[in-house]
Amino acid sequence: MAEKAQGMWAKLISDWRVWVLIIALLLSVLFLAPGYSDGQLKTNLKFGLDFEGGSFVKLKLFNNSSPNEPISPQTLELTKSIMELKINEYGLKNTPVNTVRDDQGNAYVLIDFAGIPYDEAMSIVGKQGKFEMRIQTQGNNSTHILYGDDVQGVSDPTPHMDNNGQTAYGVTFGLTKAGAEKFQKACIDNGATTDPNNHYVMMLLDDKVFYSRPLSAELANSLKTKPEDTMIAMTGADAEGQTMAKTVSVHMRGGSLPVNVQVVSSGQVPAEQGAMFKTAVVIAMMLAQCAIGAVMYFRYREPRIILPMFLTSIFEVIILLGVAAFIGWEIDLPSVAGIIAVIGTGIDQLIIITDEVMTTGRAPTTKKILQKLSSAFKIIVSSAATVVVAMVPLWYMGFGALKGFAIVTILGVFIGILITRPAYGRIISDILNK
Amino acid sequence: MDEKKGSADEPESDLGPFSKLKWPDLRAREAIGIPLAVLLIALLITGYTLLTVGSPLHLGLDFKGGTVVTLKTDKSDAQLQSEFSGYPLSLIARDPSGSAMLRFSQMDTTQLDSLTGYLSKNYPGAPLEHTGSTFSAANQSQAVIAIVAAFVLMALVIFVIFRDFIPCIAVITSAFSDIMIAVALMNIFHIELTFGTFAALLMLIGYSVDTDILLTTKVLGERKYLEKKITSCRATGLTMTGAAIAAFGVLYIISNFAYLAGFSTIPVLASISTVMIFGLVADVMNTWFLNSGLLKWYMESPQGRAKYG
Repeated sequence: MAEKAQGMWAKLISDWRVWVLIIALLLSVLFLAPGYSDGQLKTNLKFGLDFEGGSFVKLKLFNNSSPNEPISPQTLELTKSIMELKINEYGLKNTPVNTVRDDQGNAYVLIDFAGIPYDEAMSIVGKQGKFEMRIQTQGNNSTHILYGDDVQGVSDPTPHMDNNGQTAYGVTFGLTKAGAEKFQKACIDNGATTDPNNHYVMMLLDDKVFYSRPLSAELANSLKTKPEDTMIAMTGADAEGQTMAKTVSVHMRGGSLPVNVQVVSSGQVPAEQGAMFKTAVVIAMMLAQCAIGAVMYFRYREPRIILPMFLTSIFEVIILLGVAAFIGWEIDLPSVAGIIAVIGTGIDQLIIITDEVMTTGRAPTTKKILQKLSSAFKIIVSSAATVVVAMVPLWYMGFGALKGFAIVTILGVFIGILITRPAYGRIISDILNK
Repeated sequence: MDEKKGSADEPESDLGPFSKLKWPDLRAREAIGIPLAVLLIALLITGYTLLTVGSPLHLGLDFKGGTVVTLKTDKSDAQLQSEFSGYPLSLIARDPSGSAMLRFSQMDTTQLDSLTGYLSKNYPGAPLEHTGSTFSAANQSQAVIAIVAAFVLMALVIFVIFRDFIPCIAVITSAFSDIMIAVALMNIFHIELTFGTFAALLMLIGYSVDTDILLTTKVLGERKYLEKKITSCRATGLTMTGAAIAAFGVLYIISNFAYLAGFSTIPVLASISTVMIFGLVADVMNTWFLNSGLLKWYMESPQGRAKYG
């Protein structure tokens, strides 16, 4: 008997399905990198607003001139980068700004501010920066030329030919009539028209210089006779120049958006509540697993069936979390609902496999067992397919509000049919028919 | 299906306690008729809600719009009413853990700003959620698209799997009925449609077809031992549904009563698990009476006999 059992384990260990499961588990543990510090379990898992606390803002965008016209992809992209810059400026790195469209093509910007209270988040979103242009007088001194209200029509970063015939990035912008006159006067008064190389034109946002370049000789010459209302701020040919051009383009608008926005949804989750949710959810899931275990006991009564089943179900969750950590998915409440769905449908399928293998009749042969296993997998794959297709529409629903649910469920189904359930089928048929 | 293989040995009938369960032995007409009558009642209830409320379900914040704030306070309802008299306060709900949920209908931006300003001064860090009418309207239309698409895609997959009209219709009807009964019960118990409960309704599609696919796969084939095949499937299916009900039952208890252990309640999970339990209970009836009744009737019909010998 003992020898026979040993033979079974040896056979199992040599089975590729079991290996796939073991490797997937090891990788998941590696990705999760669980550790214990400060009396708390730490992992690589990222958690969303529901558990971390913070604020969220969802904005609908409207065209300035014609509110009913759809927002072009370029405008949407620009709005996104302005928002990102504004948020970065505020000192919040890694705050994701997402853009989505609804079924009518309306564009939205969604921002989650981790750990930021509601009123602060709203003020960041609504904040306008103060743009100023100055010109160098002598040495480190400079004098004021104009403010953002004299700037109009700022272009996106575009490649231009510079004086040496090289392509470089730059931003074209226009000045109001008054602005153009101020610019001309400042240049003449400070002698920039005669000595452009020693008179840098500076741009500041909220009193911080972000751009400083000498006045171009060409512009200096023409300013001697008349004001110029269109000019180009050149930033350079390399990648740095491109980034700089983007900054200039955004900052010249004073962080003001090229569109009108309307707050369509917003809210805040206090951090303490999030932390409490996290603990409660973990406890709830463990107890739910125990409840499933109790039903399994009621049904099968045999530890040699219940134990592998129970472990497989837990492995499924571990691998699922491992994948979530690997792709950097943020766990929110809908994702938790997804994990629950995966545990539940997973157990269902393990039951189908078990019952199928259990009923091989009085004289089980390998062929018969394989036949039974393949018929069980036919059922499993069929129902997995229906679950997956039912989840796909959710991807787009509610502007991503239920994306976590859809992604986690679909991932779980694939992990189940590709990794854990084949291994379980192999293990349980060996256990039951040794 | 392996129709010609004829490998279906006599199914083992001893599959644990669920196979010894005495199952009401209904004639096909009753087995089909009773669940259909229940479905009809469910449709009537939902229709009534549609007529009186204007939507097939009571809509929650995500779909109706408005503002919800949860305050930790011992003030009475009347005190809160006067405190927030300047705002369109529409509902105060008490949580067993002692916090009060205040719900406001749509406000304009200035009113909303003044409310959030007041809240951040007097109740700093209180959970707050605001959904504007444009957003909730967009959510509504997306929800309709999502559920119709999910259902149609599910139906297509079922047709691809079984390629036999009547059994496919049986599975699809049974899934539809599960969802409609859950919807009717949501109406009776006044559970609102939120993103959470919407996800639960979609989750039901998956749970529902699980057992139906098991049953249909097993039954379509040789007509031999039809009754025994169904009994053995039922033991498996009831274990599946039983496990799911147990899991969601525990989830329901924890998310509702976690405050006893010093935690806050988790309303989203509580409503998800309630809807799941509704649907799973309906699924027991719809799979093991409606679907199995339809299948039995089909297998005995001239058409089924011609196809499955």
